[in-house]
Amino acid sequence: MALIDIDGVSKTYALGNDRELTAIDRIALSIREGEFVSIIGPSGCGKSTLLHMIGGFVPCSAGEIRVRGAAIHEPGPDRGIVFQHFALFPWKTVLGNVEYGLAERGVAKAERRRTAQSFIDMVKLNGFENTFPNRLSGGMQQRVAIARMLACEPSILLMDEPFGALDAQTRKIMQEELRELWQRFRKTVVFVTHDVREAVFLSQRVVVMSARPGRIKTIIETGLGPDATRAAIDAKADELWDLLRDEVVRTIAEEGRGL
Amino acid sequence: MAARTQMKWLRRGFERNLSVVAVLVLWEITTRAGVFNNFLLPPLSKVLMRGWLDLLNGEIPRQVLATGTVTLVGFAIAALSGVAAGAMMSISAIARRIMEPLVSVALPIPKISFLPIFILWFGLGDVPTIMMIAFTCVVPIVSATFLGTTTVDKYFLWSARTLGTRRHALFWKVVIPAAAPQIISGLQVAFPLALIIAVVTEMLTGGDGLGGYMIHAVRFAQSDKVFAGLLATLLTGMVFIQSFAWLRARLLVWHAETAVVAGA
Amino acid sequence: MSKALRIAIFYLPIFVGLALWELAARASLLNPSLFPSLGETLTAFGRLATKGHLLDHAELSLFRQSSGFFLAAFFGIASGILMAENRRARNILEPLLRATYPLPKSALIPLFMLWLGIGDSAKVAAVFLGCLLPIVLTTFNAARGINKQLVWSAWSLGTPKWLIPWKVVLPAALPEVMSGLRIALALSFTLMVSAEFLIGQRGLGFLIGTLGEDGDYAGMFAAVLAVTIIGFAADRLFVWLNGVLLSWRD
Repeated sequence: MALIDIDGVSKTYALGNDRELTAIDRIALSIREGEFVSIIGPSGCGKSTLLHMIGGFVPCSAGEIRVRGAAIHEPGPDRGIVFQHFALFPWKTVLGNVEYGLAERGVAKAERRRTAQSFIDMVKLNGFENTFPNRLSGGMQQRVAIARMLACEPSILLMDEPFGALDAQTRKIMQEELRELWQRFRKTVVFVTHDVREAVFLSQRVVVMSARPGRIKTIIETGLGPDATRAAIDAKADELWDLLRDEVVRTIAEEGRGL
Repeated sequence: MAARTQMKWLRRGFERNLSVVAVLVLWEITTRAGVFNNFLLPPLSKVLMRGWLDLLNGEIPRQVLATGTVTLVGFAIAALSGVAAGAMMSISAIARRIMEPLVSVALPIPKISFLPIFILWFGLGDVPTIMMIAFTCVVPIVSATFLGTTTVDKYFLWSARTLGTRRHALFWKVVIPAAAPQIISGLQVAFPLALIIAVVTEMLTGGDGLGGYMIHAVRFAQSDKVFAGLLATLLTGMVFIQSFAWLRARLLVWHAETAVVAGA
Repeated sequence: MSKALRIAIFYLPIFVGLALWELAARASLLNPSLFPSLGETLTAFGRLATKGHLLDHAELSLFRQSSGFFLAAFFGIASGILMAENRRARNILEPLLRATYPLPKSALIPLFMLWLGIGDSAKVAAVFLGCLLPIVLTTFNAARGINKQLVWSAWSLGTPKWLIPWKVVLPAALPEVMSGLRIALALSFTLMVSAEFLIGQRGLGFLIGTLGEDGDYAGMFAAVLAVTIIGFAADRLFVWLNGVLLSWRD
């Protein structure tokens, strides 16, 4: 059974003067448990909006999103999220941020401190527990965001262009570490990006969306499971990179003509 | 067709200001029904009547003119000297050294408390009022100008230098235009302040202007006049603020920005 | 160089200015009946402090100013955040705010004289209502401008929707809210002094006026000095508090 069922989901915005903008048009997608799925596409294709809808922050205009069979309307502890610009609480330290979800759950102080600490160690930020986010580099801030999300042990990880604001070097490192984390914990991940190579590197399935309105254009299986070797990943990435790049380029070109 | 769009525009304006209309209607109804003491809160119709009468007999226009004039004169003095002083502070290290602590002290203090000193020196009448307005407004203007001219993005300056602007021309060609939004924001903040101070000063020097009008109304227990004065002052303030916003949009037509002062 | 020394050097031009004042007075450059010397002013200050009940007046003024200011801060911040978070509150309150914004805050003083007479409540009301609007507006703008993803993150991590204004919106908006409060603080002193000038009944504003009327100009200058010092000290205190509350900003 699919973990996440996106069933004929659309999102429209009212523009005043009785006009409407269709951001997403009848998307249907099923995501299995433990799967790493990337969603790529040109800007304006609604990939982030779709992610926000899975997260429960934005309601669907039509259709329904079900997690484990139950329709979702609100954020919940089963779906964690990280954003491109980290969204760390600047008035809280690293520890304060990572602990936050645990505190909201009513976990006792000593225990949540221990749990938070273990996740801080996992993202290799031990020593920075009492630092405020504005003193951390982009990569470090994103690690805190990831730790904060993981500390609540959600079964689904939603990642909204998480490495988009980082420099190329840091991005590479974060991609590798994310893949390692996924291989270790096998959580379900829905990953939005516009970096084709990143998508191929990380996922088992890549969903390509077209824009205006947002629709699924193609879904490609990378065939790279959690046990894939580095060599296999690189080879597959090269092979699919060309294929996908053509797709994305064609989508952008079509979109350009349509405009 | 034109009539229909006009109706739509009117309806939209009505809907957007529904709560204001509701308050006005409630005012009239509750006062007529005697819910409130009709002396302390005269019915809206009575206030409007008084306002209309005093408009026709020239009293309100005279006071508006008086208040408006001193406000504009005082503000103009503050604007010219303030921008000049602020600019000077950014050019000259000595000017900065002397003026920075003065501005820093002058900013938070209630400058209105100096009014009795101004009255002592200049007597009653327009002069202390204008001086008070200028004194109060010049400080935030100097501060904003100084801040704007000293925090110009150095990349603007470097680009200009590379493109041939000589050092001494940089100030007029780059710094002032780049600082313009912040300078105008400072002016925009100081402008309502000018009106506030004008009204208070008029109340204290007792005589002319909208402030004087309202204080006399209180002293002679004419509550409808107090409210009429409030309405007239509100409308005057509205005209001033709108004019300034219009002016700002004209001057900064190149600048992509949202409203600077909260709510305006 | 120690901090105290650096501060003293910064304010040096002011001390120089004060010294020039005294010298000008001594050199008979100033009309003594219009412009008392610094020395006379300070002497008068001492006199007022010891025998003239300066402290009592100051205490009363400060009471009026702080009551009005804190009331405005409390209701203003609460309203501003409410408007930002609740569509209905915003639709009701925003037009009212926009309509009353252009009114010079001081214009309300005669109205309060009419309604509340000549006691403390008129002055507190003047300060309260005068400061309320600017605080509501800056808080509203600040709350509107926070990063929405902070709200989403907290929501996703389990914070219930009704707690979000307190747990996320307020801390995120705080820097901008504090800037608005600082300006409102200065305004509160101006309104307090204005109200005391007009309505009388003790307080520093009243004192300044009375001393002027009695011809005690050195005393009047001293009272003005007292108000200036208090206003400046309050601002410094606020800056310190700001540093403490926003220590996470560095």
